[in-house]
Amino acid sequence: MSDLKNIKSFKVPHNYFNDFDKKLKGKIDLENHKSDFKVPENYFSKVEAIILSQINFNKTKTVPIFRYLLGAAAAIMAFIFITFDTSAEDNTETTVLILEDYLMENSTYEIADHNADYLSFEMINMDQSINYEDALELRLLNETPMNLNLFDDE
Amino acid sequence: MESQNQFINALKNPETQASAFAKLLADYKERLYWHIRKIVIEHDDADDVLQNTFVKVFQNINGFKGNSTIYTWMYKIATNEALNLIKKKSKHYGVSNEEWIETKVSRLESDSYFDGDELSIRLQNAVAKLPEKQRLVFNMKYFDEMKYDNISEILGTSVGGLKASYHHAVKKIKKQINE
Repeated sequence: MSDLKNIKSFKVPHNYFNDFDKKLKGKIDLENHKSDFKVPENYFSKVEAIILSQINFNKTKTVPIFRYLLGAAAAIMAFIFITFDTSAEDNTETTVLILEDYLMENSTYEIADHNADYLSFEMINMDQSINYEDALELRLLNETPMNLNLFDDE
Repeated sequence: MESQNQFINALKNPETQASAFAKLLADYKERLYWHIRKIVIEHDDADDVLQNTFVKVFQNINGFKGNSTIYTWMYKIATNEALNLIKKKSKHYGVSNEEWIETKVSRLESDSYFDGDELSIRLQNAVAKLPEKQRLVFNMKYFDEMKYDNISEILGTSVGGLKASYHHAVKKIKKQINE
């Protein structure tokens, strides 16, 4: 009966026991690699001070409702203007691109922060001569025409 | 829950918000940093995102309704900020988000703030090759050891979907590492 204990009915894959150590080591090594990223010395104590210095505790940000309304009204006006102004077809596409970028890259809070003047004079200046291809290229380069000061007449 | 409500109120109250915010910062900065770092890979980027995250938390605390824990809300902001940084940078350099991350991982060997060995770099490379959602789920489950319920709240995906994502991610990583 005791001999039955030694009958090896169960098999293991070839070299299983030789490879087991290696496999286990690999698994343990991977566990240890959870913290391979390092930070500069004293980073966490310094970053606290940096973040706190960026916050003005006396002035919690509140965005009055009329600023949302003003921003929304300006955006609607701009949309109507560019949609129905057939005399500026080339500029329309350019402006749509710029507007799309503006809406994509700014949060509601940031848009609310910008006043109507920002929208009508700085961003959507229909008299400027930048063409569609330039605007598209600038968009691909993640720059807005304003940043590159291309509106200046030379 | 009651103590969380009290803490949120302290964060919203101009009289107490400075000390409450300092506590929030002390309690969560490291956890958020490591979460962000695994998404953006480089320390400098993680530093930028961490700062932006806390500034946004402060700016938007009045809009926090308490429907989730502040911890998951902050993780959500940190995740969005990290993904936005990748999106902006990859767009700027005209590459895809995945290519951007793979480039970052390929430079890990020479990164002074990374001391992993070859196996670790292989692991990071494999993780970098995952689609964005799977990469996030894998990082949060494997490295951060977060519960599926919490990940579900942060990523807005069902637990079942997360389990499937994690399963696929692990399979791909194993295959990649064993190649």
